[in-house]
Amino acid sequence: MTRGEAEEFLFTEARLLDERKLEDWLELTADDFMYWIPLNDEDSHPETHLSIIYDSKADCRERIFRVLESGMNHPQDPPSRTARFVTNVEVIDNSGSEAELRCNTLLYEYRSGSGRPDTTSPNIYPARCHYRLRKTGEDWRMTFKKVSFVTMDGPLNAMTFFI
Amino acid sequence: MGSSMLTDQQIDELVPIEEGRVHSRLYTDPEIFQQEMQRIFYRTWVYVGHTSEIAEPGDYKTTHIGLVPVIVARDEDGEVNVLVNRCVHRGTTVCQQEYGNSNYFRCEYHGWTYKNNGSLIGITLRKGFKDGELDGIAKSLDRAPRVAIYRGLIFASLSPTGLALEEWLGVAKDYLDVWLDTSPTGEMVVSGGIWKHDYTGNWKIGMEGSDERYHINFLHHVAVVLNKRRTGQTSKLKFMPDDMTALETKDAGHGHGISEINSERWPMPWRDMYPQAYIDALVARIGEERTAHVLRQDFRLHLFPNVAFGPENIRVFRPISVDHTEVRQYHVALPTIPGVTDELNAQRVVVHRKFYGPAGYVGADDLEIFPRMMEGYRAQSCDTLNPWVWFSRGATTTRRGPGGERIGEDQSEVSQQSIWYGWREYMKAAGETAALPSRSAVRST
Repeated sequence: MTRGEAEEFLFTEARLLDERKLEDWLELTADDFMYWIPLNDEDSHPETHLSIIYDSKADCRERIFRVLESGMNHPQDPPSRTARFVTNVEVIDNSGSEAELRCNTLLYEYRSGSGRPDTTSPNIYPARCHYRLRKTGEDWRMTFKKVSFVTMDGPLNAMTFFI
Repeated sequence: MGSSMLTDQQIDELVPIEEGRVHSRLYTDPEIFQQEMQRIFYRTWVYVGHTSEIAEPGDYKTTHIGLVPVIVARDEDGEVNVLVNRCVHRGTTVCQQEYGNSNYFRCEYHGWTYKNNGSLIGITLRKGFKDGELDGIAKSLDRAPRVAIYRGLIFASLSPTGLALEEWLGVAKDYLDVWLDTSPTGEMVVSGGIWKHDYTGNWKIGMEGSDERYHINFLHHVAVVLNKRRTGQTSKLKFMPDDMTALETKDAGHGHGISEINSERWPMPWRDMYPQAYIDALVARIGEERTAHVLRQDFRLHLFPNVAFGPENIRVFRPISVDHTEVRQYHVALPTIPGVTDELNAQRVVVHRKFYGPAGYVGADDLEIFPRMMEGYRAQSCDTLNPWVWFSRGATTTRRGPGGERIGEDQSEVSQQSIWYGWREYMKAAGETAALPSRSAVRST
C-alpha cells in the first residue's frame, strides 16, 4: 500500500463518517474488525482496563442502530455535525496483502439547538490513530482501528457519534 | 461570608421537601454554593479514595474536598494522611501528580519540603530568615482533622467534630457491607480505569441522578431496546425486573439514598449469574445464607455529598462552581484470584464500558440530560415564573424500614428526596451533629 492509497482509504473513511453513512463505513471493515478507543492510557489492556470503545463488528452494528435507528437517542438530538481532518499519514508496515498505518485526526463536532447551555462552540477532539488493513480482492478492509485522544486521561464527555 | 448565608427560615422556605419540591435557585445561586462548601463539604464526611489506590508506604493520590485540593498519602508508618495540597508559605500546590509514590512533597516555587505525613522538613535558605520571621508560619501542611477508613473506603472531614463515620453511615452501612461482601476477601480493588468527565450543571443534579430509577425506561430507552434485541447475553445485563413496581428507593438518613430491586419480590437469579468457584469462595468467608443474601440484591447507593456506588464503579462528584461539576468514575474490580474472580472481572470491565462509559448506553444519556436541567433552572432568574423542581413521586406513600429509613415503591423519588432532607439539615447553622442522629427515626412523612 502506497501513502497515496492509504490517504485515499483514510479520506474516504473520514467522508463516510462525516456524512453519517455508517452502514457504508461498516463495509470498510473486515469481519474480525476491532475498534478501540482507549481510556486513561493507550497501552492499557482493553480486557482488563476500561475503554471508551472496544467494539467488535457486531458491537459496531449495534452502535449504528443506536445512532441512526433507535429513534430515542437523546445525546444525538439534535445530531452531531462533524468535520475531520486526517494528516501525518504514514504507512509503517506493508506486506502487500496487509498494511499498518498511522495518522493524526482533528475532529470538530457541533450540535446545534438551544436547550443546552453549552452550544456556543464546537467540541474539538485531536487524536493519534493506528490502523491495520487487509486486502480482500481489490479492496482494503480495516481489521483494527485505534483512536488515541490526546485527552484520554482528562475529562471526556459523552461520545455518541463515530470517531 | 456570614451576612450572605441563608437563614434557617430561608432554608425551610426553599426546601419544602415534605411536599416533594425544592426551589431551583438552589442549583443556580453562587452564594448558596459557597454556603454549601462551608456547611456541607467542609463539615461532614467526604469520600476521598480507596486504600487499594495507595497500597504501599509512600503511595499517594490527589483529589479534592469541595474546592480544597488534598493529597491522600500513606506515610512510612502506613498511616493515611489527608493533607491540604497548599504550601504553608505562599499557597502553591506541592503535589502535581494524580498518583505517585514519594517520601516527601516539595513546593516548586521556593523549594519548601514536607514529609508525606505533612510535616515541614525543609525551608530554602533558612538562615536568611531573621528572628521571628518564621514564627507565624505553620510547621506542617494543613490536614483533615478526621480520617476514617471503612473496609478500604477512605473518608475525611475538615471539621474536628461531628458524627463518627459509622454513625454517619447509618443504614447505608448495611448496603456497603452487602457491596463489599460480594468480594471473596471482603474488600474491593479500585483499579482498571477512571472515566473523568464534567458537565455544565450543579453538583446536586448528578448526585440526584446517581440512584434515580424513575427515568430508566424513558431516558435510557435505547438501552432497554438494545437489551431486548440482545439474546444470549450474560444475565448480568438483565437489569430490569418485569414488574417495575418492585423498584424501590430509600432515604437512609444524613442525605444518603438507595435504589434497589426489592429482592423478596424480584430476587436476582444469582446461581445462574456467577461461576461456582466464586460462589464457593464467598460461602467460605461469609457462609451460605449471607452469600445468598448479598448475591440476590441489586442496588445503587449514594452517600451524601459526593459519592455513589454502582455494581462495578464508584462515582465521585467534585463541585467546581455552582454550574460546573467534575465526575470521576472509578472502575472497581474484585481481588484477583485465578479461577475464582478472573471471569467476573473481565465481565465487569465489559458491563462498565458498555453501560456507564462515555460511549456506553446509559452514561451518555445522563450526561446529555444534566446540562438540559441546568438550562431549565435558569428560568427561575425571573421572579414571576414557577421556580419549583419536583420530587413528589412516593412522597406521601412511604413505609418505614427496620432502621427507620423511608421506603418508596414503584420507582419513587425517595432517594432524591433523601438528598434534600440531608441538605436542609446540614445547611442550617447547627449542622449535622445537632440535627441528624435521630432524624430518620422521628421524621414525620
